[in-house]
Amino acid sequence: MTEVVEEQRDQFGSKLGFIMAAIGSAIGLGNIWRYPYVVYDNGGGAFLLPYFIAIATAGIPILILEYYLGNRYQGSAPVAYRSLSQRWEWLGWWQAAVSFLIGTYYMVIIGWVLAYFYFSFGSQWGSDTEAFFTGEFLGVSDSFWSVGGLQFGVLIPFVIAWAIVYWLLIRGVGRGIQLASMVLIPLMALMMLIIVIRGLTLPGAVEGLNVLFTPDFGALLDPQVWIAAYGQVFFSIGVAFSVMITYASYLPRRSELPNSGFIVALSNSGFEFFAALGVFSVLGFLAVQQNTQVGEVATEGVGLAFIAFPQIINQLPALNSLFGLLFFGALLFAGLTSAVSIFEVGISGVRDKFGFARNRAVSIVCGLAFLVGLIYVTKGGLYYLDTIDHFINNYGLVLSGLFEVILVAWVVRQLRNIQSSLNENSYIPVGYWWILALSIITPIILIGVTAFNIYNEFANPYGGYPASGLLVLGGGATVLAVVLGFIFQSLRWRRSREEVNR
Amino acid sequence: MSAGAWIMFLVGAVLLWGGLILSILNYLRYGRSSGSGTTGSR
Repeated sequence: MTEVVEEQRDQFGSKLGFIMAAIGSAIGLGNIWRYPYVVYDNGGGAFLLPYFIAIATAGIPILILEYYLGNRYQGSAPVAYRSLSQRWEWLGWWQAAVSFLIGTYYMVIIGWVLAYFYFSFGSQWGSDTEAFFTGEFLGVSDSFWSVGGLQFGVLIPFVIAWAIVYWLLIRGVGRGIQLASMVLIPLMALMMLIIVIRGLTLPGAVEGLNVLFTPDFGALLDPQVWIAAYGQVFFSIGVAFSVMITYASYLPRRSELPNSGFIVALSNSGFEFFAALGVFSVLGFLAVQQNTQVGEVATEGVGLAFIAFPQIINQLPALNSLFGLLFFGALLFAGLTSAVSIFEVGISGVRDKFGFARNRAVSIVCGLAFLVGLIYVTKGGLYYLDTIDHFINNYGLVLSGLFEVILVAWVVRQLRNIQSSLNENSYIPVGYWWILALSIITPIILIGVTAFNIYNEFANPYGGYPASGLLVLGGGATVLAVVLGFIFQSLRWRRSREEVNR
Repeated sequence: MSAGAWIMFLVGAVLLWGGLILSILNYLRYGRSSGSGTTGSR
């Protein structure tokens, strides 16, 4: 029989610790490698208008809601949703499964970053950075279903990254997650500051920033620009991962929440806006060096971090290695503080439901995630990572977020009660805008985003990958997360509500 | 930078960083306690 261990619920050591951990979770790789290109690609400076509206009508309202759910019910996402309505526990497990699946490949990317941190010494990627990344480093196979063997150059940093995350999670909320965030987030901000200052002083920086910020107001008539704005805010702040529910459950009951939501959301958005200055100033530099247009070198994601940035580092007049260490160090710290938060969702859920001691829950969740993650360490790993990332983000996260707001706003109809409750403990009153945003605006936008995504899936199959791959891996992972939600709901609770909240 | 780029940069900086500074000032003024009781300090 499973041993049920009675432990007190973990707590953050201070309100500041909670805020820093939440900022650490929100600021991830996407803030540095995704946001700048999204701005550039969606109307430049004009994109800021839908972006601000998305922050105000979706990002901050959902964030405050998730804080409330975690803090009010003092439990993980399954506990919180079950407390709202017994039949909706599965939603919490669905979100936990989505976070888990994202975490499995997120750790591989952190492994890549760690490897490139090391490669920065002496610019070991050579002059052809694309060939180095896809060929020598990843050894990408010729076709989607050619799995190939494990790529040992990736496996080693992957194991090291996992060792760090496992160690932080075993140490717990206060001495692990909070401490890591308190140290790594300021360090990352400092590193980004140096990158931005260096970037702004390089020749071509002004061209880069011109391309980034010059507004194309005509783009605002394109619905895709608005979808991109809501998508960016949704993924970037990290709502619907259940991380914010989990973290807020580690605060004392009736903590002040709305202002913390503003701090975290604006830190996240303020940071990515700042990072965009650095990214586009160095892209401007690269364009000048290659005697081409900024638009020709502008890119995002893996291509930006592992192909374009090494090229930029190669072209710098001095201190090339240091710039590489700063850039990949900032990515590494951003990734680590997000990774621990992603796994804490599942760990917290398993502990609440089955009463496992922390060490046991961490070992089960991390061990399983490590094994699943090995498929991305193969030669076909990049294909699988890209496919699952696309589907799990566009459907797993967006749809579970949609169900979340529908549950609270339309099924249990608790928004007004929650608003009153929030305002009892807040020095920033949550107004009617919050109810309007969650009950009307967010559901409509998320339904629109999903409809557009489904249409796009058929019109332009993702990545040019084979239909079998998209269906089996992309569709499979998306459906698996929902199925896991219902399976976990059907399992018996080993702890009572009082034991969970203790 | 062009005038349009400057204006959009400034709008972004003022709203995002200004908003962040205001919320941090609020936190420093009222909200450092981690538990309940913030209403008492209003």
